[in-house]
Order: sequence, then structure tokens, then C-alpha cells
Amino acid sequence: MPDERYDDALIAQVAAALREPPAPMPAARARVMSAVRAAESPRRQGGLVRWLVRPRLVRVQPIGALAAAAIVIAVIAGRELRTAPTRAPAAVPAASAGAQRVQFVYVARRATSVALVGDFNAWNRDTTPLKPAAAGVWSVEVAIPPGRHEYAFIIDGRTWVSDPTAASAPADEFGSSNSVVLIGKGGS
Amino acid sequence: MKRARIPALALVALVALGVRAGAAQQQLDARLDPATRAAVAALVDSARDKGLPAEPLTAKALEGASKGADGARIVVAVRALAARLDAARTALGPAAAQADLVAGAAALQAGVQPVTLAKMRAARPREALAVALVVLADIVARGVPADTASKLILRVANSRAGDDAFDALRRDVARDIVAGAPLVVAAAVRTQGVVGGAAADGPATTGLTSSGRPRSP
Amino acid sequence: MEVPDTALIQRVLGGDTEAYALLVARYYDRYARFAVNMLGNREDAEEALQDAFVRAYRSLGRYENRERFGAWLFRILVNRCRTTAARRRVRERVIVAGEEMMATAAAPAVVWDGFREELARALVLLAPEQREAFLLKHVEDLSYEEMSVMTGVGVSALKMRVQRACARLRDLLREVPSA
Repeated sequence: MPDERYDDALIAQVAAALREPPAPMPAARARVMSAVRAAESPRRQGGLVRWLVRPRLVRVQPIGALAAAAIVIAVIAGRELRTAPTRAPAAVPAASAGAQRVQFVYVARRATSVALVGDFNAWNRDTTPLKPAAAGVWSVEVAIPPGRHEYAFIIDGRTWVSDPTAASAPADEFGSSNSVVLIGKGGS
Repeated sequence: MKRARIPALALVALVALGVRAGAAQQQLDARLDPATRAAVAALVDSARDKGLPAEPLTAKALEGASKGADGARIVVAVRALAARLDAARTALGPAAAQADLVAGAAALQAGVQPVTLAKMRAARPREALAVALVVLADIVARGVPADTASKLILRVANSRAGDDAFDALRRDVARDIVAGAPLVVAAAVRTQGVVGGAAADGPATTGLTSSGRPRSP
Repeated sequence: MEVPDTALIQRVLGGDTEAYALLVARYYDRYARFAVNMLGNREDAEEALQDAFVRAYRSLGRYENRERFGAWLFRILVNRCRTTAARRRVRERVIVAGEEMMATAAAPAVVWDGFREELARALVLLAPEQREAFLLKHVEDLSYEEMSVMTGVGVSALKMRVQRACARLRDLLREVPSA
């Protein structure tokens, strides 16, 4: 029986193109669990709700670990941003021109490399690798001059991701979305 | 006079590295083909002649090179950014700081109208607007329609709220959106909190979770 | 060995919220394709996906094992995509057009594909119900019966929508030189 789905080659081409999966969205996926946690818990239909308070032994699949870890850092980062006192400019010597040292963090348990790229390092993927600490938490500290800067992370040398904890830059002409860090100059 | 404070839009800690001037130019030479390099250089020179900053343009070219864009797309992107910087400067005034211009250009790219930038300048004639503009672009990027977001940010700009309040607004709106609140409601509620709290000189501390329970501060 | 969906659902209903993360991990990327194709951009797709997963979570108590969890979740997503598309104004894409824009695939980081861009523009021009029917049939490979259950629309109406979508796509894409 002829395959009636593809009455011509163009539709077949269209279908093939649309079947390609989009680039992974780890940050968006992480946000889902943040939303789920804030949502009302589901109850069994007609049953009592039993709140189990016990250590959870969930066998976590690798990609689940990634999502879970990314959520943790987003929540921690959120809390830290909320409670961290805003930094007053210390006596900054004129020679350093107001550059601030900034820590960038990304959680990616299964990654083999995470690089920081941004306008402050000429978007060079080789100059600023993040270093892994425990539990898939990667970080690096960089001096950033004053002003508005855009940046992103490159996972495993090929996947560009934005920083889930940071402000977003608008989608750009290159089809991607960077994050924004703003270093203030101080003054009145 | 308000004590200036630096808002934290990323996790902040301390280590030293230097950024050498001229590194960007070397990178351009190394990473762009001659034709693209020439076109970008022409655009940068033209921008400099108009008194617009060159660094964002060279950075944009390097970003494109790093993302594997071809030369034509890079040139289009640099040209478009130069045009947005020019429009931002028209709206924000000739004395606008570079950070304000770059943030303004980004807001325009997100769909904010130039008149919004002009109104923000009118509301805060002598203050830096970069934080407010970054927050505006961010909440538009998260899906709040540009005209709605503009109205909300203008309300904050017209109040006595400081930069901290804008930053708090961004974080709180982002969290509310993550928690499932409808976008416009999240932005409006948080703006109300900021504007209402400005009299007490504090950031917003209340908001809605998706289950409707007030969030504890 | 993979924990089955039903077991994870039971854990969530028992109070183990974190077990839901495994369901999210299992289905998010898989269903992201439909959301991105249907809504035309990642931002809207992310919103619809998040809505769908949160709604599914809240409604888990009402989920009955009569259908696969994945199918039930997908049905929620299709509905969320309709709501997202209807509620939001079309976001203006950054239009980068002009005679210089003959895209070439270069470095692996970002791949440019002229046909893909034309296709994205063409999809946006389809009527939403035609786009939805086309995607469900030709991309997500559902049968007309499954589509009818999912959308509540009759099979013959669905076939008509798919036919019209194909005709419109042929018109819109005819001028594109082969990639």
C-alpha cells in the first residue's frame, strides 16, 4: 500500500526538517521543577494525603541529575541574591578602573567541560574554562570592567546555554540568547 | 544625595584577572575573514565618528565569529547594533553613559519603543538608567509584552525607588514566572510592591506563589 | 532499569515531589519539538511546556491509568500550546533579511539552514488549527484516530486541515531553492 502521507517530496522534506529535535533547553527544564515545587501538591483522588517524611532514595538518571542539580543552584542562587547585602563600592583604586571580580557558576553534572564566553573575554571559548567542584557545580572567577556585559556558557564544547540565574539579553541576530551582568561604576 | 550601591545581577566574589586593551582588535584580526573585517572596521569607524562606543560593536562581531555565523550575518548584526546604539543615544541624550546606551540598545532590540527610553530619561535626568533598562529587557525577554513592561518600568522610574528595587523587581518577577504566575500579573504585582514600598525605601517583599498563598518575605 | 511512569506517579502522589523530576526529564525534550514547531519560538514553547508540566503535576490525582501518562501529558501540552498562541501577541522576531543573508552551515556551535528558516516562516503563516493538525500527523506521527481523541475534532475535519496545510506549505515553499 503506497505511503499516502507523503504525496510529494516537498512535504516529505518539510516533515524531515521538523522532526529534528530542537536544541536542548536545560535551563527551561530546570525551571519546570522550580514551578512544580511551588505548586499545590496533587492529592490522590478521594484518599488521604500522606506526607512522607523520610530520606528519598530516588535512583536518579543522568539527565535527571542534571535537571535536579541545575534546580538546586538556581534555588540557592535565588536565595543568595535575595539575602546577600548589596555591595557598596569599596575604595577602588583608579588604576583598576572599577573592575569587579565576579564568580560565575553553572551546574552540569554530566558535562566534561564548561566554558565561559562573553564580551569581556572576546567570546573566546578557550580562555575561561570553569572548574568543576563537587556535585557538578562548575565555577570560575573573572574581573569584569564596569558596564553592561553579555555572556553565556558552552557545555562540552558545543552547546551554548544562558545562565538561569541571571537577567536575559533579548534574542539576537545569531539565534541565541545570552545572559547579562551589569557592573556598576558607583558615584552619585 | 542617595548613596550609590552596586546591584548584584550575578553571583559576585573576588579573583583577579586582567583585560588588556587591544585584545579585542587582535581577536578580530585573527577570527574574521578579510572582507568581513573590513566591513566591520568601516562600521566601527563610522560609529566612532558619530561619537558612539566602538567596544560593543567589536564585541558583537567576535560573538558572531564565536557562534559560527558567516561574515554576512556578522556585518548585518554589527550594523543593526550601531543603529540601535544611535537610536538609544537619541532617546537617552548625548551625555548618556556607555552602559546606558548598551542597555538601551538591548531594550530596543527586545521591542521597547524609543519613547519609553526618553520617558525614563525624563523621569531620572541625572541618574544611570542601565539597571532599569537591563531589568526592562529581561522581563520582556521572559515574555511580558514590551508595552506592558514599559509601562510598569516607567512607574518604577517615576517613583523614588532605587536601583536595588529594580534588581529586586527582576528577581521577584522571574521567580513568580517560574512559579507559574501569569506574566503580566507577576510583573504588575511586583511593580506595585516596589512602587508602594518606595516610600519606605525598601524592595518588594510580597508577591504571589502559584498556589495563591502570599509569599513570606 | 527504568522506573515506569506509573511507579513515579505513585511516588509523587505519596508526597515525593522530586520523583516528578524524572518524569520531566523523560518527556521534556521529546515534547519540546512539538511546542517549538507549533509556537514558532523557544520562549513561547518553554512557557507552554512549563504550563503543561505544572498542570499535569497538579492534576496527577485525577490522572487515571486508562491511557499512557505520556499521551495524557501530550494532550495537556497541545492544549497549552493553543492557549499560549491565542493569549500572546506574535513576538516580533529579529528579522535579518536581505540579499546578503545566504546562510551557510559552518562551525558546529550554531547551524544555519536557509530552508529551515523559510519553513519556520511558512509555519507561522498557517492557520493554527492547520499547523497543529499537520504537526500531529506528519511530524508527531499520530494516527487520525489518536488525533481525534486528542483534539476532540472529527477525523474527516482533521484530514481536511492536514490537506489544506500541505497545500499552503507547497505554495509558500515553492520558491525556495534547494538547500
